[in-house]
Amino acid sequence: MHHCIQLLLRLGLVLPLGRTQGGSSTRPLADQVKEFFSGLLDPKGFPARWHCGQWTDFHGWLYIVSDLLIWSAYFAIPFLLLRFISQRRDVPFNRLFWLFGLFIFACGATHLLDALIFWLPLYRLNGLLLLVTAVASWGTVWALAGVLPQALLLKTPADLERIVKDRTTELAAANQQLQEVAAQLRHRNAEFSTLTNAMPQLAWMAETDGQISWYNQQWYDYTGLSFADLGGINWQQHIHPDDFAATAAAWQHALATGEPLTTLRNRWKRAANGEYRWHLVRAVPLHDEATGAIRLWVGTNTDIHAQQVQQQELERVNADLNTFVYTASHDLKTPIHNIEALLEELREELAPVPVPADVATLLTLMRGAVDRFKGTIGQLTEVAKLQHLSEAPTTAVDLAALVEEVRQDLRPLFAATGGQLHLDVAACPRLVFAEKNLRSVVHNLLSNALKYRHPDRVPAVWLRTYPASADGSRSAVLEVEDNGLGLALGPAEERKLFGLFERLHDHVEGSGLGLFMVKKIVENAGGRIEVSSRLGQGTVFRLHLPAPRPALQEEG
Amino acid sequence: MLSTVLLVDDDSTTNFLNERLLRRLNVSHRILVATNGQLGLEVLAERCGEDSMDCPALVLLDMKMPVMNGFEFLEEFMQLPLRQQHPIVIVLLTSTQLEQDLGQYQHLPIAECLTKPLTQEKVSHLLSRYFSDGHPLN
Repeated sequence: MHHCIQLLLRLGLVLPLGRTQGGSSTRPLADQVKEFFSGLLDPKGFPARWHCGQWTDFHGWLYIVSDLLIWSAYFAIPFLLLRFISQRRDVPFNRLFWLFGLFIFACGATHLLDALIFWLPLYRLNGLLLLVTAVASWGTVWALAGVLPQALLLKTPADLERIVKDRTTELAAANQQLQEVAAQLRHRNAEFSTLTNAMPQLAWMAETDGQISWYNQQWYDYTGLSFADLGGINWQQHIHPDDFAATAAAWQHALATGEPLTTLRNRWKRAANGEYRWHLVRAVPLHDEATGAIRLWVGTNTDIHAQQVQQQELERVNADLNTFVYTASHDLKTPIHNIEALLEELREELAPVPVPADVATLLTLMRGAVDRFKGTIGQLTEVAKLQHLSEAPTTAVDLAALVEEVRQDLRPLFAATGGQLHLDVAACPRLVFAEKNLRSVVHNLLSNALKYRHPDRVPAVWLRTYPASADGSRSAVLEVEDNGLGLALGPAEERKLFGLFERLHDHVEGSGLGLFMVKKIVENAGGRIEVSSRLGQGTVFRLHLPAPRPALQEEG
Repeated sequence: MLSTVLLVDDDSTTNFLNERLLRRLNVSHRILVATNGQLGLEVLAERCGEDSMDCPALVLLDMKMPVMNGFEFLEEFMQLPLRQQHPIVIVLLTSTQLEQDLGQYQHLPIAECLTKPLTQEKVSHLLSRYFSDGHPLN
């Protein structure tokens, strides 16, 4: 190629670069270009290469054969490249290959023409071909320079191999972890099964629609059935027919509101002997960690048969006792009234007659005995009434008004003792309670505070209410504090303090009924009473009154 | 003074004392005693005929009695035809206030419920409230 450029320069055909040799170079450039393209395939004006210069056969054929070898190689390369990129779809820089193919192809073409020029001096065509080659070469350079940064990032096979190796290691580690998790899960599952099968309760799980999805082994033992038998809706067949409606209602309510079941009691049939045994059913919802929605219900049925039967028996005995107390107090009334009246008649019969002094004394003593008898009967009646009192309806009672009423009732006692009542009910001005019972409670506590006053002090009584906020419920505390005699209270004394017909003081008139009634009323309403006292300083009674019961109860 | 008072009570001591009280207070000419509801009804059937003059004007009735109690007595009494001719004041005597609170007496022909024992005050109250010059007020 070098040789021919020399030749072209000598012939003055190349664009003038300051050279003036040759006639054609003096013509205008437009004419030169026109002449160039019109005679593109015309060899005129040039000798065949064999005829310019001193070519020996060897030299010329070396030239020609080499050119042809180069051309054929340069021609083959693009086809091979084409084949490569057509079969390897994943090869990057696809267009660069095309450009490179074109560049090689053009280079090959110049060598073919270089060889042809030995016979056919197509120097014009050769010039154009050189230009095409130059453009393709620079295009390739430009494109290569453009993709070089990306190309540098291409992974070498070694890189890839290392990456694959790393990935494989990671994968193996992850797999190992997964296996460990799976093993842990298996262990947990085994522990869960062992636990649920070891517990005495009948445990179960339910979907959010109420369908039971799992039972522990105890269910199968208890009902003698398989999961297929137990699954779905068939639990209804094992519950006592009388308990079905209340249970279904409570369960539907729990499902609808998401409130746990805590106090549901019902009877389930034991396959072994066909007996229905009482159970306490509890169920709590399991919430989804992400959405907070209920995912599952987990429940247990605890056998409380013995307790339930015992409790029912106790309730029956208690009711019988109440009836007995009531009947006894009722039936004893008529005879004691008659004895009293007969005694009166006797006194009148004896009035006009002189009788020994002893007779009058005896009559007086009898009269006293009758009075005490009547008192006891009256108290028994009060105790019997408690049963009825506990069923009294509750209302929101205005404490200040109620205390004022009691104060009016106790006016003689307040007047006689000069007692002071300090009222602080601002924190809890209303208590939900049966009004009659609350009045009885306040009456008893206030009258006690005055009756058991300290001889050296004017009695002062503080009545306070406040919310029992410690447990977060809506329960309230009613507190009555005095500066009276006080007591040294051990457990035995405390028991006596609230005991029926028990009296710790004998200098004051009392029945031993008041605090028993207060305790009974508070406990019947679901509350409790506390007392703290210091001998010679005073006493505090604290009544913890429960929050009002919600309208809907799980136990029907 | 009333013509006749009928005491219906199974307790003989109560009857003895009430009779004594009524006599002392000069409440009536005659005092009749029946020891259960059945006997009480028999007394009324016998004495409250067309032309009878000693039909009781006042009946003091106990609640708890054998054979026929006060409640049954009143149910039967309501069926008797003699009621129209002889307005009879019936007063129920109960042992406790609670018995009265339990109700059940609203539809029965009783003038009043009183708690035992019967006293001079209670008798005076009954006489002034339900009678004028020995005859029932209406």
